[in-house]
Parts: sequence; structure tokens; C-alpha cells
Amino acid sequence: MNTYNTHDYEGLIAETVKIKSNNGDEVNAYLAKPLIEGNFPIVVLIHHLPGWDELYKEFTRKFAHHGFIAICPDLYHREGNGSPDDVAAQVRSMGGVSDKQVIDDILGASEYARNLSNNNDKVGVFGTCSGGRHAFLIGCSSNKFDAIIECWGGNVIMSEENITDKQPVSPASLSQNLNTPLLGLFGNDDVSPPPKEVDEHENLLKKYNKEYTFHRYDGAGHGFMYHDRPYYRQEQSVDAWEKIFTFLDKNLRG
Amino acid sequence: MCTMISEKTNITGSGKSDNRWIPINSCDVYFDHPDHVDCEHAIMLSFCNQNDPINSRISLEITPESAKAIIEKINLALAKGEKVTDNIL
Repeated sequence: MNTYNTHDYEGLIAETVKIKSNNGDEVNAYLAKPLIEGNFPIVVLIHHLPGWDELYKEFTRKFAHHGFIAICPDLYHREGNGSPDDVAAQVRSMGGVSDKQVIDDILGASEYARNLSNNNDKVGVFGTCSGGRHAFLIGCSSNKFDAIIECWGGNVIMSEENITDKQPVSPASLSQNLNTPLLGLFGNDDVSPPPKEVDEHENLLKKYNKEYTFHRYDGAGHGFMYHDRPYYRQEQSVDAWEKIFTFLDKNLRG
Repeated sequence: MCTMISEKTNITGSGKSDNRWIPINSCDVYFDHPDHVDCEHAIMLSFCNQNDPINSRISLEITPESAKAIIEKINLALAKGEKVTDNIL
């Protein structure tokens, strides 16, 4: 997707920064922002279960390239450092990270970005997989965001036996509290979440008259936008990125 | 990535990584979307030494069919091995 003129100057800076989580912890985050003058919206990226990996750093730079101040906190920072997949395996072995901690880290990342110059005080949230679930959860838990993008969030609808101390609430049960425009992207071949759960998710949003748009792609499964994985689907992914930037431009600019 | 199906067991053994052997005392078994192997869901085995779980990790991801084949072969090998050792003892 080419949205720039070849005549334009383009520059961005991308680096690791230290942010303060809402709970006071110091956490690493990857920040990418345009170098040109302007007032840019913020996008907070919530990485997926495989961790704070290269793909998410690429995604962060992609948002900056499209004129956003993008920041992605390392949600697994507290568990140690190493190769992202090894850290993620350790986090998984410990039963994941708590929803509360993730929300605190996202709020901290958002606050860090709001304190940077050149931002327009509008903040969107983007997450895939477990991050998609967290994106929806934070949209139902906070009034500090202006747009939520949930990509194939698994376990948005949780049965009683899946409730844990770290994930004490089924996000779907909070649907009534959503107060932010929501974009949902799903693959119809996905089994987590399966289409039936996406139906239930959508029915709740309809029931409470929420502002949302769902796009559900045929021929695509879980993680269809992950270009570093075998289940990448080029056509659906390109379309999904276009929908993401259209949605963010509508809700975060002007 | 999103099933969170995870089983863990303590084990006694050793594993080879970076051309050296290390003691291994933990194994996690996952059923989820793989990082690398070309299938929708895989069985992932993550072996480590709990004293340094991140840096000692030795990992494997295999198709569910492969996992079943390995389980069958392990059971066969165990049965044959136990027969041999029982005869000796």
C-alpha cells in the first residue's frame, strides 16, 4: 500500500525506551515515530502470545511510516530477557500474564506517548491474537482511548472453566461498557476464535448498540496477517491493512 | 497462540543445545499455533532447566500426527527395553 508521494521527505526514528507502567513498574517498549513536523495520533500495539518479537517491531514501524506515533510495550519484560520465543515459552509455562498487568502496561505506554511532543492526544489500540483480546478488554475497561482494533482475539468469550486468577473476567461479559469505536478482523477458518464465537461476540455488540465494524475473511485463518508464518494470506492481509488505516484515519485524525 | 492448552511435568534428563549438554528438569507440552512448522496447530515441546528456563530452553514443534507417531514409538521402545532389562534382572 503506497500512501506517499516519491517527492516527499520521509523519516522516522525507532528505538527501545523505558516506560512506567500504570502500576509503577519500569517496562521496555519499542517506540517508532515520524521525524517530520506535525501532530500525530498515537497507536499502542499489544503484542501476541509469541511475544515481543520482530514481527511486532515491524508492525510498530509500519504504523510510524503511516504517520502515527507507535509504541509497543514488552508485556513479558518482568519474566526475563532472551530470545523472544524463549521468553514467551517461559511466560506460557507460568500461565500467561495477568489481564490487570497488561492493562497497566498499555495505559503506561499510552501515557508515555501522550507526553511526547507532536502528538494530537488521540490514541488507538491495536492487538492480534491474545493482544486482540486485550485490545477489546481495554476498550471495555478504560475511557482513555479513541479507537480499538481487535484482530482475531482468542478467548474474548471465555467459559467458566477457563476463568483464572490472571484472567478473571470473560471480556465479552463487559461488552456493555465498550465506549470506543471498534474494528474487528477475523479469519473464517480460525478455530480460536471460531466463527461461532465471533457471531456471539458480534451479537453482544449489536445488543448493546455499540459502534463497531467486523470484517470476516474467507480463505483465512488465525494470524492471516503474519507475513513470517505459513498461514499468511496475502490478499486478505493487504485488505485488512487498508481497513486498519482507514479506520484509524477516521477516528484519530481531524 | 490462543488456545493456551498447556501441560507441564518435571523430568530428569539432559539436552543438547549449542553443542553442549545441559541437565534438563522440566518439560512443557503445548497444543497451539506453531511458530514455524507448516500446520494450523502443532504439539510444541519445550524442555528447560528451571534454574535458567529462558536461556536453557530446547524446543521442538511437530504436527499432531507426528506427535502420535512418536508416542507410539516411545511406548514400543519402552516396552521392548523393559522386557530386556526385566530378563537381565
